[in-house]
Amino acid sequence: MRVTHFILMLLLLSITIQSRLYAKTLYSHQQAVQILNQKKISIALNELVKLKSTIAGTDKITAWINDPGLEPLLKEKLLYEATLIARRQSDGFDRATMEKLVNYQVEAYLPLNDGGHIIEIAAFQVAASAKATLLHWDIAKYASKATKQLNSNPELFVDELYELNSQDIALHGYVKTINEAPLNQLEVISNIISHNRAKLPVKALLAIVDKTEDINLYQTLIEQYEHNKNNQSLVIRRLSSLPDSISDVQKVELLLTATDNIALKDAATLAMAPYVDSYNQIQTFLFNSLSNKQHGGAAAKALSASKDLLTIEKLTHNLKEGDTVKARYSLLALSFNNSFQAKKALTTFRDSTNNLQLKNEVDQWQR
Amino acid sequence: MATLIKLFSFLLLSISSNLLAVTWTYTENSTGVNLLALGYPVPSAIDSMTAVDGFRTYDSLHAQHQALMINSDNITGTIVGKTYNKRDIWAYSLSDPDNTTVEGIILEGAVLQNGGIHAREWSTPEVTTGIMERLASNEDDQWLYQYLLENINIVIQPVENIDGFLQTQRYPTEVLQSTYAGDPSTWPRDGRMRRKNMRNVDEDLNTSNDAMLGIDLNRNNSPFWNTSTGSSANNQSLVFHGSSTASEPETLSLQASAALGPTNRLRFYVDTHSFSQLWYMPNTGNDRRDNLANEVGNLMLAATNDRYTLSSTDSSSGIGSTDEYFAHTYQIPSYTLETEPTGNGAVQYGGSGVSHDGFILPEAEISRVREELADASVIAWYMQSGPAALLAVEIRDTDSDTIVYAGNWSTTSTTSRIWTEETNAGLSSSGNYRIWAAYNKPMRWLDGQQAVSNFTSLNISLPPTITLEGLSSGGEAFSQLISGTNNDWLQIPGGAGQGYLNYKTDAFMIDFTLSDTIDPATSTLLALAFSNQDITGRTNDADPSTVIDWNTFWINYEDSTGDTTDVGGIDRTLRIVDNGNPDFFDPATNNNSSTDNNNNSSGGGTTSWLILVLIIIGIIQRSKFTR
Repeated sequence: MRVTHFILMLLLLSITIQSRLYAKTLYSHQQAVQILNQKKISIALNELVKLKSTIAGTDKITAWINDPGLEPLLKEKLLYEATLIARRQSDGFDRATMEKLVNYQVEAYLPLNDGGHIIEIAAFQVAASAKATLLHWDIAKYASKATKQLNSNPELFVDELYELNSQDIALHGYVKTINEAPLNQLEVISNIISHNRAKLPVKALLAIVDKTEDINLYQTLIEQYEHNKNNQSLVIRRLSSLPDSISDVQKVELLLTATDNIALKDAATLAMAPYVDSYNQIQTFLFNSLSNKQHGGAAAKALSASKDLLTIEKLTHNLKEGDTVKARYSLLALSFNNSFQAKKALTTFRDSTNNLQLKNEVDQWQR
Repeated sequence: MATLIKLFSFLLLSISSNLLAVTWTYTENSTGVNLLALGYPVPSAIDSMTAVDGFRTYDSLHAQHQALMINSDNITGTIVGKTYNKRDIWAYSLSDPDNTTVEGIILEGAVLQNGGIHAREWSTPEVTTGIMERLASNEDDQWLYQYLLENINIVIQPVENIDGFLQTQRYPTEVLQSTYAGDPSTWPRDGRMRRKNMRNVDEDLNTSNDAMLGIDLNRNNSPFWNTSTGSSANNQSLVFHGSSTASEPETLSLQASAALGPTNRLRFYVDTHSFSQLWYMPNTGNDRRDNLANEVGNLMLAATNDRYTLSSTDSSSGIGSTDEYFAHTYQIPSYTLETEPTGNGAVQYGGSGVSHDGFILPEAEISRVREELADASVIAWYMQSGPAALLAVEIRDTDSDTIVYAGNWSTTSTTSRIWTEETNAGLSSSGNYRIWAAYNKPMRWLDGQQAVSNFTSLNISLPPTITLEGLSSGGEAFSQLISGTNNDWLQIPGGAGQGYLNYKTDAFMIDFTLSDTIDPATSTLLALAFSNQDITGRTNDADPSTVIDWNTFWINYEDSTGDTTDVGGIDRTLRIVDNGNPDFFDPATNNNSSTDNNNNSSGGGTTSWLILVLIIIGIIQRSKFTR
C-alpha cells in the first residue's frame, strides 16, 4: 500500500509539474484582459515617431483625412496594417513636421456610430510585421523604450502607471490570444508626447484595452492629453468586420503616395494580400502596380495570395504583353501562387517563350 | 505491480526530459529565472521584401531574391538542391548572359558566396541578399558593378540551411538550455539558437528530446572531415560532422552552386557566418596561392576600415569547413567571414553580455553591416576578376587635330591578344599631343560625388601616368614622364580620343608637349611605358599579348622583366619607333631581358657579350700566330 501511495503521489507530482511548465497557455482572453485592465499602462516611447522630412507627404494625408467622402473604415484597416508593417527608419524630423502632427490631433479620433474611432495618419514608421503576432513585439519595443527613456513628469501620468512588460504573463496570455484569434475588439492607442524631439526624451502613453469593456478608460486618457498642444495622438483600431464599401482605388493610392519611403510603400502593398479577393479596387491597384519596377515585386507577392481563378486568368493574360516589367512580375505572381491553374499557365508560357532565361526560371519553379 | 513500475518509469522519463529541457527566453531588459536580458530590443523577423533596419523573414528574403531574378537579365536562379525537409535551395548567378568578358572569347572567372549555413546567424542571409540588391540596383552604372556583371560570374547561395533558419524564426526569443553533457550548462540550443540542420528534428520546440540533434553543415566537408577535435562524432554535439563527408543534402547544394561557376573557373569563395568580426583564411601550402589569398584578405579588411581582422589557419589540418573544402579542392582564395560583433558579443552595442548574444545582432546595426560587407565582397571580386591590361592607345596631334599613333589589343584566343597598329605617323619634337589609353577594367574608385578617390584606406597614386622613353641616335637613354590629374580618368563615354572605352575610369586622356630634348626623327627607340595601378593598387600587366587567367595563382601576369611573379610591371610593348630590341627592354638600364616569360633571364645579355669578346680575342691571337 505504501508503495502504491508513493507512486500515486509521484503521479500527482508529475501532473502538477507538467501543468506548471505549460502554465503560460492557461490564461483566457477574458482573464488576460481583466488583469490588464487593472493596470493603467505607461510607456515612454523614444524615436517611435519618425516622419519623413518630406512635408508634402503629410500634406497629402491631411487633405485625405478631411475628405468627407472618404470611407473611414477601410482607411483604418489599411492604415493599421500599413503602419504595423512599415519599417523603423532612422529618419529625423523637424519641428515643423511635429507641429503639423499636432494639428492632426483633433482629427485623430473622430467617433463613429458604432463606438469606434477613425484612425490617425500613418505617416510614421515602426518596425513591425504584417502578422498580428508581431504586435506583441511592438509592445515589447515600446515597453523597452519606455523603461529606458521614461522621464519623471507628473503631468503626463495618470493615476497609477505600470510598466508594460513583454514578460508579463498576463500580457503573454493576452498576446497568445491575439495570435490565435482575430483581435476584433482591440484598440491600440498610442499617444506620443514630445517637445523638441531631437533634444528631449519622448514620453507616451500606450493603452491596450478592449473597446467594449474599457472604452471609457482610454477616452479619459486621451482627453487628459488633448489640452497639451505638444501632444500627438495616434489611434489605431482593428476592426471586427469588413466595411460595407470601400473607397476609390484613388484613395488607396493616396495612402501609398502619401510617403516617399520605399519600405513603407512596399509594406503597405504587401499588406493588401488578405483583401485581394474581397475588393476589386485593391486588385486593380495591385495589377497596376505590377508595372512598377520598384514595387511590382510586392504587388506580385500580394496578388499571389488570391484564390480566385479570375485573378490567375488576368495574370496569365499579362504574359501575352511581351517582355515587359508587368509581364515579368505577373510571371512571378503565378510562381508564388502555386495553384494548378497557375502552374498550367507557367507551363504554357515556358513552351512559348524564346527568352531562355525566363524559360530556365519557369523550369526551376516547375521542379 | 510491474505495470505500475513501468508506468512510473515512463512518467519519470517524461518528467525528467521535460524538467531538463529548460526554456530560456531572450528579453530586452527583463531579468529573472530563465530570462536572458539582452539590453536591447529582441529582433524578430519582419515581412518585408525591401531591406530594412531589421531581419526579414525567409519568405520575404526568398520573394526578394525571386523578384530580383525575374526583373534582371543579369540574374539567373537555379534550384541547386533540397533541404532535409525537402525545401528548395536556390542559388543565383549574377552575370550577363554570355560566359565571356567584355572583350569576347576570354572566359569569365567565377566567384561564390554562401550564406545562412548556420541557422542562428541571422545577419548572414541579410548580407548575401544585400549583395544581390547592391548588384541589381547598379547593374547599369557603366562602372564597377556593370564591369563585374559583364566580366565575371558571381554565384550566390543566399540561404543554405533553410530548415534551421525557419526554426530560429519560428522561435525568435526562445531557446532550450543544452542537455548535452559536452556543452557548458550556460549554452542555449535549438529555437533561436539552432545552429545545425534539422535532420531528425521536428519543428516543435516543446518536444525537446530532439533539440540537440542535427548536423553541423560547416563540419560536413572534405578534406578534413572527422580529422580533428574541431568536430564531433556525437550526434548531440553542436559540431556533429554527420555520418560521412557531404552526407547532408544542404552540403551537396553548395557543391552544386559551385558547379554554376563552373568549378574550373572559380577564383574566390566566402562562407558567411557570425560572429567574431574577422575572416578565417585556410592556407593550402601553395605559397603563391596563400600569398595572393592574403592580399585579397587584406583588401577586404580595408573595406571594413580594418575593423575586422584576418586569421589564417594551418594548411595541414582543419575542421571540415566549407572554406577548407574550396581552398584545398580548387586552390582558390577561400574564407569564412564572421560578421560582427567581436568575440565579446553584443556588449559593443550596449548589450548586457548574456550568453550567445553575439548571434543576436541588434536590428539597428544590420543595415550598416549589409553595406560594409557588400563593399568587401565587391572589391575582392574586382581584384579576382584579374589585373589590368592595356587595351588601346591613341595619340593625337592637337595642333593639327590628326591621329599620329593608334592601335589596340584584340583577343585571338582565350589566352592571347594581338596588337594591331592602325596609325603610326610618328611624333615631332616639341609637338603638342593628347594621349588616350584604355584598360580592360575600371581603374579608379568613385566616391559618392563621383569623384576619383581611393577606396577606403588604400593610398594609391590616383593620377594616370605614362612615360615616353627611348634611345637617341647616340644610344643614350631618354624619358619624359607624362602625369595627369585625377580628372583625366574619363567618366563620359566615347571611346578612343573621346571618353571611356567600356566603363568609367577605364581610360585616361592627357595633353602634353613632347620635350625638345627628344627627337623622334633620329631616335632609334621611342616607346610608351605604362605603369598604372588599379583600384586595389595592383600594377598593370606588363605584357597584354598573353591573357591573364587563374590556375591556383595568376598565370600570364608578367612583371617588367617578363616573369610571372604576381606583381605586374611596366608595359613597354608599344613602340612608336622600334629598333628591334627584345620585349621588356628598358632603355634606362639598357637591360636586355629574355623573351621567355617563365624563366629568370637576367644576365643573359652579359654572357653573350663576354663570348663575343672572347671570340674576338681568340681571332686576334690566332692572327698573331699565323703571321
